[in-house]
Parts: sequence; C-alpha cells; structure tokens
Amino acid sequence: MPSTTTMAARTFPALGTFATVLVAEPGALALAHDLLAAELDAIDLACSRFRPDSELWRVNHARGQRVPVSPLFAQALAVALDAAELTDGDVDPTCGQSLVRLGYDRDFAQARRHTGPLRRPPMPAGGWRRVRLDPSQPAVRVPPGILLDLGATAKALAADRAAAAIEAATGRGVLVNLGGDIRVAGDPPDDGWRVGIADDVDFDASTARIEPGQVVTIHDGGLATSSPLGRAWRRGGTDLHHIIDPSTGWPATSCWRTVSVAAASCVGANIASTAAILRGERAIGWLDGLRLPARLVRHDGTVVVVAGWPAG
Amino acid sequence: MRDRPEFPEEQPGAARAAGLRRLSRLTWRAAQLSAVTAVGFATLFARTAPAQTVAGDSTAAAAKTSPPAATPPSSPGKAHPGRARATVSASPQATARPAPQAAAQPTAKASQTAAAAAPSKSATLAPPSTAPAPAPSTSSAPAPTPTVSSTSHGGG
Repeated sequence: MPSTTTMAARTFPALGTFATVLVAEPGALALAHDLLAAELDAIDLACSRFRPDSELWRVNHARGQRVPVSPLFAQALAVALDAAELTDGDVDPTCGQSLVRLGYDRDFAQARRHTGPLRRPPMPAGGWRRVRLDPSQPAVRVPPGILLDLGATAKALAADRAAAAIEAATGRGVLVNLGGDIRVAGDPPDDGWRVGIADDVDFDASTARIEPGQVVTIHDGGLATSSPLGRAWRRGGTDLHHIIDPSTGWPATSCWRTVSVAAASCVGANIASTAAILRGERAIGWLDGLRLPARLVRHDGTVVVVAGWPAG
Repeated sequence: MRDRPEFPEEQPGAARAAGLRRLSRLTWRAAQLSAVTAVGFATLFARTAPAQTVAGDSTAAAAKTSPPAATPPSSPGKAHPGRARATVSASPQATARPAPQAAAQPTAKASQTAAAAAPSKSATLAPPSTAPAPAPSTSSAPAPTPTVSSTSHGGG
C-alpha cells in the first residue's frame, strides 16, 4: 500500500462546484487530472440542464418525441430512474419543472443572484414512471410538461466513472471528490483516505474554508453528503433549496441539516443521503436496515450515527 | 305391439347424408381445437418473451458493473425488483468466483454484446466493504489535509 506522504492532489472548478483528484502516486496526477476533466466534460455535455447543446436539453425540449441519446446519457438516466425506484420515488428525476419555477433555471451562481418573488408556484414531480428509456437503441421519450433534472445522481455517477477510469489507467489508488460526492478506487493509502465531514454551518464564506466536524478514513466505495443548506437561495423572502419533495414540488422540510452516507459506490451514497434528507426521522431505521454507515446532523447540531459510522 | 320408431338414417340415402354431417362436425371441432391451441401458444409466448428479455438486460447490467457491490447475503431493507435485484445476485459470480475457462468464454462474449447494446443500470444501495473509521491521531507526524465531503461549495 502506498504511503500517505506520497499523495498528490489537484482541485479545479467544475459542474458549478469543485473537483478534486487525489492520487497515491504523484507521477500519476497529470493523467488522473486529464481523465477526470474529460469525464466531467462528457457528463456536463450529456446531462447539463442549462446548456442548449446538451442531450438533456434536447430531451427536455422534445415535446414528447422520441430522442436518440448517447450511451452515457442513457446510463445517467438509468441511474436516476433506479434511484427513484430504490427510494420509492423520493429521489425523483422529474422535479425539473419545480426547480425552474423556484428560480433554479440557470447555473446556480447566476440563479442565486435573483431574489424577486416567484411568478408561479412549484408543481409536483411529473412522475418518473412516465419516462421511457429504451436502452437497446438507446433513446428516451419524456412526456410533454415533464422536465428531467439529473443533477442529483449524474455528479455521483461521474465520480464513480472517473475513479474507475483513473485507477484502470494508472494502476494506482485514487480519490475523486466532486463537490462532496466522493469515490475511491484502487489501493488506498496505509491509513485509508482521510475525509473531512463538514457541517455547512461551519463554512466560512470570507475565507472559503471549511472546518470539518469530523475526520474519517475510508478504504473503498463512495461517500456523499447532502444538505438543504448547500444549494440554497432566497426568492421573495422565502428560503429555498435544491432538494425537492416530489409530492409537492417545494423544497423538502427536514429534521436534518446534513446527512453523510458511505456506500459501495458514490451513486449509492448520493441516493441514500438525498433520500435521508427527505425521509426525516424515518431515515435512521432505513439506513440502518440497509447497513449503510451514516452520520446525520440535526439543525441543533445533535449528531446521530448508524450502521458502524464512527461516533464523533 | 308398438311400431318401431322411424329414423331418418334408415331411409334411402339417409346414411350417406348422416355420414357427411358427422364428417362436417368432426372437421369443425378439429378446427376449433386448432384455434384454441393456437391462442394458448400465443398467450404462453406473450407471457414468456418479456421475462426472457428482462433477464437478458439484467445479466448485461450485472456484467458491466465495475465496482463489486459487496452486498451481504442477507441484506435487509426493501426488496427491489428488476434491475437492482439482478445486479446484486449476479455480482458475486462476475467478480468473486473464478469460472472455468469453457464457461467463462460465452459469458464474456454475451456481456460484450449486451454491453454494446445496452448501457449499465447498476444503481444499488449496497454498503461499502469497510465502514468509515475514525481518522488516526496526527500528533506524531504531519498528515495531509483531508478532502472534504460537504455541500458548502454548492455540491449535492
């Protein structure tokens, strides 16, 4: 196993957040960076809701017509539909219309600058079961009026894919972190990969520093953190965020301010952490039943850990 | 003594007509039986064909799953039909248990063909092989700055 002293890292902006790649062999950093950047370019071109040249844009504006898509887009949509199925519809990719009506209709950095009142109330999710994905062609048909938003799972999928590609190309251990969605692959450092688990109230906007509430080590799989405080904005005096309750179309009201989950993949961790925000107190038993190690933080700072997540 | 009742067949030419009627009825029943059998086969085929298609997709998805899911044998939680269940059940075969060469070749060919035709559908809620552990003390040696899982920078 490589020593922690030989690690190298690079961070750069991507997907409206940041991307970090850590490799256990400094000589592999340049290649790792290039592979990660290529993966992010590909996932952005496929799944961006804001780019008129993206596949998602074409699908969302096809007015119910069948649209041929790339294998990457088909995979991203399949993962999103799996997420809905695994969570009984709590993590629903058809919440795009709600996000648009809530003002999240452009890149987040631009969207949060608009603070005027909402023109129309949000609407419930269009229904993920109505989306038709033909994986054999592949092609997609979305009923008129439904807008897909793959942001919840596409970023995690990119972390999974990039980590696997980097490990395959370099033969070295790697950690990919996309805005808090983490995936590791290959041989970890001696003591594992050190990951800080941050509560967003600790974020110092003046210095852009994050003080992690806890530092853990992971050796395999993925880790993701979800929070209603992350992508939050204000319209007409109302505080809004990006985790949508599909049944109402409004941002979810949760007893948790932050949920971090470890899973076999980053996609799995992301799905579980997002669903946990939506499920509130029920999330404790649900995560424990799935044996997914998790750390849940209430708004008053009380921490609950389940399924072997270390206390602290 | 009562007269014997008269039967049409006993009249001249009636036997031939009766035989033709019996042959006609027999032909009609044979046609009915054939139709019922055809409908039965069609129904059976319609029910069986989709199941075979789904099984093929699931196998392909499982074969293309890159990270081993490390799912415990008695994973609790919601039973998930279709894609995820197939992935969970097939992962140990694809990743952990080495197959004999003769058996492995067709499987590899099948997975390559399916992978080209269908993208992976492998989202599962499987736990990691090892749970996160407390970070070791860093008092004796400098430790690298940890990367952070948070949504503060606009992430998930």
